[in-house]
Amino acid sequence: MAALRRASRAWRWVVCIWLAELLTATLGGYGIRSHIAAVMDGFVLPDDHLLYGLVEFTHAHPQLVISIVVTLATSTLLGFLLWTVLAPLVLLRLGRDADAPAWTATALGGAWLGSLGGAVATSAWHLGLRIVVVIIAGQAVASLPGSIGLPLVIVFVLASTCALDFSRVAVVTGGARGASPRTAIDGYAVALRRPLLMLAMAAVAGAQWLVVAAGLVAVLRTGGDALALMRACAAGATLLGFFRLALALSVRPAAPTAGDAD
Amino acid sequence: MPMPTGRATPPLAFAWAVAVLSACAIDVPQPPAAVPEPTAALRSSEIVGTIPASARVLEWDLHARLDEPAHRIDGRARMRWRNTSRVSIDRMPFHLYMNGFRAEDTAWMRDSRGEHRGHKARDRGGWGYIDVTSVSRRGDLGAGREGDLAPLVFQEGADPSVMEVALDRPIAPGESVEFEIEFVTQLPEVFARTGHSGRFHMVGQWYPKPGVLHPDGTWRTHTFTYHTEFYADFGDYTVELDVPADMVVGATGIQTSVVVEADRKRVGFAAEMVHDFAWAADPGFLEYTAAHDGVKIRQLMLAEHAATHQAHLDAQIVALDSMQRRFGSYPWTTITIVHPPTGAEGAGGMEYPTLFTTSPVYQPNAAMALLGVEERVSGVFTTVHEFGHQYFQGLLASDEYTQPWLDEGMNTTSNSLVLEDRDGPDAWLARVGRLSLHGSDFVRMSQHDSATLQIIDGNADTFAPEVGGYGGTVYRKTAGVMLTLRNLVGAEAFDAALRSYTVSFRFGHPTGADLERALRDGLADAVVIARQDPDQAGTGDITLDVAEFLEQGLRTTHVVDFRIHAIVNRRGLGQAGWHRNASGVLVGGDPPVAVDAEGAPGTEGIVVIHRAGDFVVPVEIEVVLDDETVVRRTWSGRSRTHTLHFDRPVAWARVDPAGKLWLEHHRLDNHRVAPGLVGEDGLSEPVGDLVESAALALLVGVGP
Ligand SMILES: [Zn+2]
Repeated sequence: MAALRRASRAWRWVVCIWLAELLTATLGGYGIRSHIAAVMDGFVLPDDHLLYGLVEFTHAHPQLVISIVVTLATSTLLGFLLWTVLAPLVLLRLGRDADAPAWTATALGGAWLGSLGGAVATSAWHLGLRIVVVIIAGQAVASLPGSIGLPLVIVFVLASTCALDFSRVAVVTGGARGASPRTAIDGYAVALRRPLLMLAMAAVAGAQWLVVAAGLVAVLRTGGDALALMRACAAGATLLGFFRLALALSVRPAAPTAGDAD
Repeated sequence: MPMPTGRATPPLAFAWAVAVLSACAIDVPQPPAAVPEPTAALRSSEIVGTIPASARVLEWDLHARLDEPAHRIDGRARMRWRNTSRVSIDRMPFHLYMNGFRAEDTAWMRDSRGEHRGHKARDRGGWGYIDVTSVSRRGDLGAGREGDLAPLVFQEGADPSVMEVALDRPIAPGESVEFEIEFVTQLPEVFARTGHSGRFHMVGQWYPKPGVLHPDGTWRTHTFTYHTEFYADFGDYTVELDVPADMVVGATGIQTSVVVEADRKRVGFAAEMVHDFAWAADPGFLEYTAAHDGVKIRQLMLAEHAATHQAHLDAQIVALDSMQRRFGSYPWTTITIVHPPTGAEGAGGMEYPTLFTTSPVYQPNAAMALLGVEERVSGVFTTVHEFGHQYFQGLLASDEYTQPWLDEGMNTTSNSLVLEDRDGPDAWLARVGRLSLHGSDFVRMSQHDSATLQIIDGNADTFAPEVGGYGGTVYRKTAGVMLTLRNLVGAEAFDAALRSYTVSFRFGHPTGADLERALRDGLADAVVIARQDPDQAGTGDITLDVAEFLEQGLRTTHVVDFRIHAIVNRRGLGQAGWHRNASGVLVGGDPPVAVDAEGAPGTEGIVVIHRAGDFVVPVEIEVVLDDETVVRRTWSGRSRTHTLHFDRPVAWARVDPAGKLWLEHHRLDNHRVAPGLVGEDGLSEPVGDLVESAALALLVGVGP
């Protein structure tokens, strides 16, 4: 529960990152709305057959499909980049004990920049490793029925997320060399050595997905009416992300204090 | 620095999870006690109704022995045929449909390239063929005494899917003659309706079938190509199937006997007034039988599909009730539903008299269920559609080669009516929450690619695979034409007219002209759709010319397309300027009154509707004025544009507000708001919200 306390103490950070996520998604949605509205130009969907309306629209204007794909791909990429860059900063913030003196902006910025290169490098190694893990896991479970195979692949993906967190902690709080593939592989080693911690983190990561998926399901089921709920779910998932990173911090050798992070 | 270390535990959790999940077995519902087999193939004569004397052309006595390991049938047919034409006949063409699968250069294989509805023939061959070894005519010594067999000369046509038999003497009008035919049928590995897969055998189009002789003495015996289905005369069948003893057999008609001898059994069947005989066999078939309204419903399915037997039975009952009420009684005592096993999906979705093959009901996985994906059509729709063919081709035995729309298109129309009886008019067929697809949507979607490709009333070859449009035109556009007509003239009038066709042509070979005549007679040539202005008596009637509508729908590629061309709200005219008074002197000369000044003329509203498509059809228009008054008008659609004037500003206008024109697939220009009025377009907001939500989900999902 200490990890949860750590995460909730950083609520202002959660809010800031959530707002950045909202802004990014809103810009994407705005592009699509403007695209459609410009084409409709005074015309209105004639009935409640929204899905058919969309089919007719995309048949006449296939560019919309490309715009949607680009919007979603950009969001995926931005999500990845945003968190690759922000994760070391969040880890530094979460790593500060409640009774420790607050970071000065300069010290925090310096510590972040100091670990940023390593964190980005180990994230890149992990991206490659994750692809390998998914392929190997996919091959391993290929002969199993889909109802078993797919959940197993999801478990492997969640486990590789935990491994990435361990590598990030090693880089940010332990000074490990992020550029070395060893650091990335060691993330998996820690995950295997601390199975209970990894399971807890994987559960939190799974919960993040579930919260996001629940929001998306609500939006789909209401035909877009539940956007506010989706935004709330995103806030919840971001907080859960902080919680997971705080859990990962429990493998660090000693808590860093302000000013001695490097 | 080295990674921090912890204790290791053995990774057994996954193996345990796999074991637990694998232990879940398939739940096979217990088949109910079998419903007794009917003793007659036809229902009572009051239910069947009058069978025209000329309809019974053939009498068949078939014997088939299945060599299961070779998937081969040794067949013997005794066929009595009656010349119902006005002329003497000295040759007789036959269909050898199975030869379509004989080699890659047959007409059927040339078209299909070994692929049918997404199912592929195996690369290593698995050909099917029918080899006729002898054809003889049995002499008739009169008084029921049989004479000797006279061997006849026969020869395959340019394509092996037909053959011609030269008769040793002419057959006069009204005369009957009996043939004996011996043949060997090699079943292909099933990918297109007929054949084998493992121990499953679907045996359709497996014996030589004569062409149809029309009254003027011309034969209809089309070459078997990709989209040509079948055309044959009605007759009675007595059949003996000799199969391995463990086979469960389903067939056209009723089962009359079964004799088991060692490892073989002979199963007897009888059918009356049908134009084909098909059968299926598999030792693993479970039988689920039920009775409804005097009809025995028999489902044959492997355990893998057993869980869905009730869904298919429900669909069968809905279809039986709906179609009997709409199109007249179902005349036979049985209907057999065959569920092809996994690997034999190519056999699915095909109709034969009193027997059809269906397809599996989609079982949504947990993720789909969570997403709220629902559908009411998979498998169930196949059952409704294939049962529908018991009427549209089984009973109304139209020429499926010359006018495929008469069976596939009219059947698709009838399927929509069955679904309407079950779920209400144009109810959703598939949906995710508020996002739903309806029958009208499926018709409209198909028109984006095929609306102008081919006319409906063409023969099956006009829709060769490389041309396409068979499904979109023959099935769905036909349904679009018929259901648009129904929406315009009213369900009651249309249903009565269609019923007059289905009742008049039972056990016949109706043509498109027969159907069109029945619709024209039933609906009157010019159906009054509406007064031009429903609010004002005395304005001219808007009529629909049924013949013109059908001509455009069936034999042109004209497209139904209306759009709101313009909404204009402008200052009305006042009395400013010079006018002559009663004495002829110019008076006045005042400047126009400012729009917002006292005494200024009001604003007038104008709506211009454009018929952008060439299809001429009446259309309803709904206009809402700025004071929320709703005005409804109907326009004949004869001119290219139509202008409506109002003495108030118009807020918005909409053509075809009730969505009656199923044939119209460009609908995003049907509803327009007046310039300057801000409002939601109904599309950008929900789609934008969906994309924004998905973007947010991805951002956060791949993020922290
Ligand atoms: Zn069909």
